[in-house]
Amino acid sequence: MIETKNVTKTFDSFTALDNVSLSIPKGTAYGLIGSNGAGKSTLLRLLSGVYKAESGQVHIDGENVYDNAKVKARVFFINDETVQYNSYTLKELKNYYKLFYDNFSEDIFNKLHATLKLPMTKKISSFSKGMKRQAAVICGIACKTDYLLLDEAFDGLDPTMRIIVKKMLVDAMIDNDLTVLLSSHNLKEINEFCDRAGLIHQGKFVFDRELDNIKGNIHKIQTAFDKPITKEDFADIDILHIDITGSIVYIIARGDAGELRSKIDKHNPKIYDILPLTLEEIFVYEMEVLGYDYSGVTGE
Amino acid sequence: MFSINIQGGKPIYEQLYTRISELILSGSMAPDEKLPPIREVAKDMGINPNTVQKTYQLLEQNGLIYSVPAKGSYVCKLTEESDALASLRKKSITQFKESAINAINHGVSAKTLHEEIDSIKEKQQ
Repeated sequence: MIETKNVTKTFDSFTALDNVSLSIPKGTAYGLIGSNGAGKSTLLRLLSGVYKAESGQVHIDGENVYDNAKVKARVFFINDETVQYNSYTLKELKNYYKLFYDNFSEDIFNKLHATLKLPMTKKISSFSKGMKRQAAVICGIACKTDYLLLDEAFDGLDPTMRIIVKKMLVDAMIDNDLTVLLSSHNLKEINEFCDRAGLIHQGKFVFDRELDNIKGNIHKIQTAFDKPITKEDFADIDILHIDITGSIVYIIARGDAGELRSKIDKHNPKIYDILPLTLEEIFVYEMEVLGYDYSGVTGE
Repeated sequence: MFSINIQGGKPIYEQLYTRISELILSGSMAPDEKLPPIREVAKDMGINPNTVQKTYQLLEQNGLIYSVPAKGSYVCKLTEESDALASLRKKSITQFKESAINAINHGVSAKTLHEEIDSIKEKQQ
């Protein structure tokens, strides 16, 4: 389990993370969402022991991460930047990781490598961005750590590669009970692959939810009445957003779909439709309720 | 495998559940037929294996599939008395009622609705 308690990290006068607390259960695929500069990479670097927090605690399975070789051997971090490996060939990189990670599996490496067919003896500096990412991913999975952190997970990978990488992650989750923490701008990817997601905005951790719960519990309703209707008529509903134009009412509300229906049925609607909400819309309204402006959170 | 268009705002395990239960109830998946392993479904759809597992658990709880340790999951034989069938029928009646109310509110006559049902029945026979 990954756990941070009241973690703050500053760079000179800039507060990159402000009092962040989160916990990620073992075996989860966790998606970290936020705009550029929100603090996602800083958080991942703290979790992998690259940075030390000024205050607060960063724990993995109950142990401090920073300067703790034992814990760090169980975490693999795929950095957003791969420049540090440029002077190695993939073969050298593999041998380098083998030194640090006791569980490194030559077998898994070869299997993954057979799918991707990256050159083994060319310098990584000659690789394209996508190839560098692939190299890092196969090394990361072959190290068989308990935790895999991916910064900008699918960045620079073409659609076919995204599929292959996801398949690799599925295998590792089933075979090794791998916990995956990935940051991404891409909500579709997070929606499909993650159990939980957290949203970071300007260094603050805005919220953290199990995706199935938020999705099953928030609804967009379009309804219409043949009598004047006001917001007060729906006082018994947990409304996130309401828009009344004449007799047509749009409601975004939390709650069970059946209960919402019966509460609205009391007013004899002439039309009643539950419309699908995208994950993006859910986040927009959740943030609106918390008093944040969502614009730009997932903007590229 | 289980082709669905993943919708953003609905839990994926629910979408998958609906798809598989349709296949089972329509007879497209026969009793005692083996379901694809969780790993294959997750890989094929590019989704989290935990999600597939949640779907399979729910299918088992509702009596649509059974699991054999170390072998996999299989389709249950559904009888007229089975709870799964009863609850699905109840659900489809609710859905039908909702659509019928909308249709009537939109000015479709009850006669037209009856005719539609008759023509569906004819096509299925």
